[in-house]
Formats: sequence, structure tokens, C-alpha cells
Amino acid sequence: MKNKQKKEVLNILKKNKNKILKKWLSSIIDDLRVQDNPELKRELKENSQDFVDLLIKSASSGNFENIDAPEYKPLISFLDNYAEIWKDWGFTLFELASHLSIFKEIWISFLVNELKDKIHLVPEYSVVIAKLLDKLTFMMLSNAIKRREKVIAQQSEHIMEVSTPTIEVWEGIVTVPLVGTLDTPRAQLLMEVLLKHIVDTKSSVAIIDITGVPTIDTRTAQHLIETITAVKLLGAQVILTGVRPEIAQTIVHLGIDLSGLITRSSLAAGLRVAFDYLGLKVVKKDESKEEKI
Amino acid sequence: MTENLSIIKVEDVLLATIPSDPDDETIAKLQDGILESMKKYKVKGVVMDISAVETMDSYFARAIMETAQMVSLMGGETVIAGMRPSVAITTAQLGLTLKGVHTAIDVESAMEILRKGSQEGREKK
Repeated sequence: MKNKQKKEVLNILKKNKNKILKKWLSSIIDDLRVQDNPELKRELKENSQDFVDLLIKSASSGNFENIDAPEYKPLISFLDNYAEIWKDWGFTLFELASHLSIFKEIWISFLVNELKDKIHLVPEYSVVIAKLLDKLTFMMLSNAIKRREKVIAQQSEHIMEVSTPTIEVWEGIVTVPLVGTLDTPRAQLLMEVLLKHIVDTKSSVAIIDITGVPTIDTRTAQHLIETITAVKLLGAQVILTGVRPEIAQTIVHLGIDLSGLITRSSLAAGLRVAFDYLGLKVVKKDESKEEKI
Repeated sequence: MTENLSIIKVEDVLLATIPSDPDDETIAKLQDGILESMKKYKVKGVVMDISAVETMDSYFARAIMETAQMVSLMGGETVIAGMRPSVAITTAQLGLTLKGVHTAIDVESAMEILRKGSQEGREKK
């Protein structure tokens, strides 16, 4: 399409800007949520105006095809921002996309009105408008989805982090209460976090509590053994606690060799072993006048 | 590389510091040096400070175990001190356990282990 024709398409938008805006707004405002909300109505009006202004500005360059070009940057970032605001108002991405589609239809309908004498040009012009607005819509949608995916990725990372807390329960005793299934990425993270914590605190005993681990299979056991070997290499002792009856049965049935490892049924029993290892003793106050622990 | 290797006597303990990326030659020198010093000074044991070591391979792990055995034949004990977490992870994943060698979080606690003597060996309990 020639530049002259592009100008013509754009001029129709420029000339009828206020009419188009009015029509566009009225069709959006039909939405019930907008009708009862004057603040939203006002914001919608401003945003629609900004959108049309930015669109005219971007398209004035004669570029109707490549929205990655620098002249479209302000419009794209406006749309990204717009999508976020709309999300806060409770609209879905689908609704936002359909509003842009309404704008496209209105623009084309004005095209038909204005070009009554050369109606043969309308199909070509309409395609250009449709393509441009579709591209903008897709760009906005894909950006919005990318942003949400990023949030999801951050959250799952966060969940991973909080799922392996290491607690220094006593000077020299680190505890890791494991909750949930111990799969390979978690086992890797557990190893890294635990080892780092041991080095940071110069602890000599690590208690791994598996009360919250529903089942143990050979792979989980392998991960545990690897972690325990690594901890021992650092010069710390490992105590495995929270071995419930079912877990004990599974370990024996699977033939997992955990000999050479201190295991206890409860965290409290494990803590007692750790105190013993460090040469500490817990006594009742009245049994001994001197405060020990 | 070899100039970073140092074997010094601290009180009744030998302290050997291993460079970050020991090659075969360094490891051989380390073994010779430790055994020579064991003969020269009457020491209780050896502390190998590997806090600078960034990678552990099976050759190095075996050399450590062998050195520990030799030291034990000469009446001493060996403690590996300051292994980095990343090194510990790879070592464990390679299935190398460093049997018969004591480990300690840092040189200070390694010295303490040697001072306490073997009857309180950390592997027990």
C-alpha cells in the first residue's frame, strides 16, 4: 500500500477521532461493571483517548506493519500498562482484547462512511487496519502472559525455598524439617542449602527430620544418603529423625542400607542424641542448682 | 602450582594446605612431604586444609585416602578440614566416601579432633 493511501486511512481516524472515541466508549460502557463505576468510567475515557493519540502518533510514520519498530514503543508500553490496570479493575485479558477488536470495527465502519465514492478501496484499507490492530492485540496479550508466567516462575522458586528451611535449633545443631515428597530438584536444593548453612554456622550436627515426608522410595533414599555423605564430608554428624513405623517398614522391605546412620523416631529423641554428641546435658532446675542448659 | 603447597608444624600437629586445583605432581609432592614431616617431627596427626580446593576427582580422593592410611601406619591420624559445600556435593554424587578419614568444618575444629585423640573418633556413635 502506498504512503498516500496510508495517510488517507489515518486521516479518517484523525478527522473522526472524537466520534470514534464516543462510539467506542459507549459500547464498552454497556458493560455493567463500568456503568456503576464513575471512577472507572473516567479512567476509561482518558485511556481510550491516550490510546488513539498514541496510535495516530505511531502510525504517522507510515509504518503500519512492523510494530517492533521504535515508533511503536510508547504505544506498546502504554498497552502493557493498560493491561495491568484492567487486571486490577477485574477485567480478563479476553475482555481487553475484545475491546480493542471493537475499536477496530468502529474504525473500519467510519472508513466505509468516508469512502462512499471509492468503495472499492475499503477491503484493502480494512485489511491494513485489521492487521495492525491484531498485531497490537497479540503483542499486548503475549506480553501480559509473559509477565504472569514470570510471576508463576518466581512463586515456584519461592515455594522451593520455603519448602527447605534450615533452622539452627541450638548452637552447633542445624535442623531441616522436610515436608512433602523429596524429588531430585528438591534434594539438590536441600543439599546445597543444608551444606551452606552448616558451613555458615560451623555446626557439627545436622538433624534431618522426615516426619512430613509421606513415603520413601529407593530414589528418595538415594538422595538422602547422598546428602548425608556430603554432610559427613564437611565434618558434621547427621541424625535422621521422624522415622515412622511405615517408613521403617518400607526402608527394610526395600533393602535400603541406612546402617552407619543415627536414626530416631522423633525429633526430640534426635535432639537428645545431638546434645549427647556435643557433650550437653538437659537437667531440671531444682535437681541441680547450677544452670546448665 | 607447587609453591602454594605448604606443610607446617603447629604445636603437635602437621598442617598441610592444598592449592585450589592440585595436579598429580602436587598431590605426589604432598604425600611425600607429609610422610617426611611425620618422620621428622613427632606429631599426633595431620590436618589437610582443602578449603581452597574447588574440584575433587576420584584420583585426588584416592590419594587422600591412601595418604591417610600411610599416616595411620606411621602412628598418626588425618583430618580433612574445610571442604567446600560444592565439593562435598560432587564428592558424594561420585560415590566417594573418604573412608577412614576424619572430616572437620575448619582447621580449628580439626585441631580439636586431633587433640582429643582417637578414642573419641567422630565416626563412632
